[in-house]
Amino acid sequence: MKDSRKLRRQAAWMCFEPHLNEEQRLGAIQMLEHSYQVEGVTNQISYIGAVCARYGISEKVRKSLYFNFHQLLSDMPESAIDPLTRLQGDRQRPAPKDSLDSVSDQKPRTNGKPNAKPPAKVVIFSQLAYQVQDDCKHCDLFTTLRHLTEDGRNRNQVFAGIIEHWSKNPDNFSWALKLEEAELKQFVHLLYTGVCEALGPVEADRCFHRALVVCERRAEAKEFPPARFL
Amino acid sequence: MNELEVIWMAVCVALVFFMQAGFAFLEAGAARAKNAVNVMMKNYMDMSLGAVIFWAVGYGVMFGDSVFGLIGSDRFFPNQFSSRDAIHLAYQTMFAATAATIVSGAVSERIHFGAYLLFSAMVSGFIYPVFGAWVWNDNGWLAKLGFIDFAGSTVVHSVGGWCSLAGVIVLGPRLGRYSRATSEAREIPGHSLPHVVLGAFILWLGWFGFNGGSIQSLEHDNLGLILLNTHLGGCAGALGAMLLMRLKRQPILVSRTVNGSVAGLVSITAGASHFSPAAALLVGAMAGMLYSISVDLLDRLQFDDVVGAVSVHGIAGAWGTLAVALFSQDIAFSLGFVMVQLTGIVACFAWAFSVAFLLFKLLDKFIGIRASTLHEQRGLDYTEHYEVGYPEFQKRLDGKMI
Repeated sequence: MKDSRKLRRQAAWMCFEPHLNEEQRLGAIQMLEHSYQVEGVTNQISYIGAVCARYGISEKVRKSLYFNFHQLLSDMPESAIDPLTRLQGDRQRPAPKDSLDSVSDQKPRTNGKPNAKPPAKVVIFSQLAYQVQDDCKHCDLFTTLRHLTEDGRNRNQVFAGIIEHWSKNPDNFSWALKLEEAELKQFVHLLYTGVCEALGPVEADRCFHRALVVCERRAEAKEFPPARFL
Repeated sequence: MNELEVIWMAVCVALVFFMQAGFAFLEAGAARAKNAVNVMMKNYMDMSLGAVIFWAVGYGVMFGDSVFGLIGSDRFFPNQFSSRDAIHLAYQTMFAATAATIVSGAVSERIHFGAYLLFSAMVSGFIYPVFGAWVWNDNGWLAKLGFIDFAGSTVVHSVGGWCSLAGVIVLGPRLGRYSRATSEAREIPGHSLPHVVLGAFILWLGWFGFNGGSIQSLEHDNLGLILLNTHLGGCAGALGAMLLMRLKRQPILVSRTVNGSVAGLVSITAGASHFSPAAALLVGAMAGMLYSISVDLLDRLQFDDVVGAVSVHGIAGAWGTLAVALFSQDIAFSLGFVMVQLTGIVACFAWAFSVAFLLFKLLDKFIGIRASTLHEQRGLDYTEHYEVGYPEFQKRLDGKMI
């Protein structure tokens, strides 16, 4: 019996090969694994549309991809690779926990005890920000955020400094310890605005949904639900 | 007006009123779910507030004793009527609400509700009736020039369209609509295309009253021809938009097809009693194509019009008004008549756009018209109205159901 998930991965891998580099194709496979559950033409169209929107594939090419993907699902060569192994290999990247370990090495503002655990809000914020910036690696999110903090409506010198620091150390969130909850909320909103400007509001909502799903899985989410930032 | 005409007009009042439901469906469907309640509230209040303002002030401005052919000077807060006058006021009230509600779709998803209400009141009480006084008041200066707009392609729809353009420019685009780096336009799909289609069907139904009720009398005008032309204009608008999408090798989108038919209906409104059916088809088809072309142009200029109101109502309205001079079967073609129609089209733009622009600027200066980016993120349903349109289905950004 055919493994339909494997077939979809193989089809997606081959279908996007002429248009995306390997990292982007892995991103496309991740999107497939997260969101494509039930076979159907509607889901095929939705998936292709989502990948094209994320990686800026033109509408003309998108139309041909619908057909190619559908065709590959029916007529997959025996020798086609399953990109799952590559995806699993790629998941061996430093988890945000490493960056938060560096946070917990610092003395938190709240109680001054050495090696104290960072507050739950900082852990959740860091996870959220890490996921979002990781999701947006293919677009220049930091440049967009810099422009926003210099812009009239969102001008904020403190955040401008934070973004400068963060852009040099994307995995380090020790700076988050110094921010109050209201400031963290403001920063999350700035992040959302930045993703909107970089990718559009539809993709921004998708990106944040994905990040929130990851945040919800952390133990700290019971103490500080991610919804409080939104 | 004989009894039969009074009854027919009463039916038309109800049909034009029902167009508000069409606008509500179409505009809400074209917006995201998190803004659906806000869009519908704007539509609802356009009727509720606009009707009162028009009764109180607008009717007098439009149909009172004209001063220099520019503005009426009496009939404010009217309380005593003949049956004919009462029906006329009721009918015109629906028109005023239509002109106001055109703006609501264009500026949706980022305008403060309170600021919008103030602007809507000004459309119903001032912008629309002043221009209407120029055209439909017997002593209006455009009427005396010989300008013809049978049922309001310019008076209602272009006024609404140009006010929408002013609002779109002053407000700016929605968050993330256009890329700063590449100026690429990103689609923000509406939450319900079935709503959009249903809305268009309801508008189409209402248009039979919109045009059919603009007759002078059953003897004077050919009601059957007016209704037929109305219908053919809508059909041709859809076909014209589809044809252009096909020629440009674009996907045939239902939203564009539907808007094309509304553009066709708008265009036919100026000359529904003057066109032959063949001319109605041509006028409607051209309107559908012009709508499609102008929507892309406005996007390139980064004017974020959520429902295409500027193109559907402004551009198509102007075309329909000009078409009266080109295709009327009652009035011989003459360059003089073309110039008269062009004068009215330009006067409408100059008046409606400039006053609306000034009003939006003043509102922005004194009370602020643009919702914050945080409110845009959360959705205006909750931030402006503390309600949610689809509580059983709508996901908050945190992934939980509300």
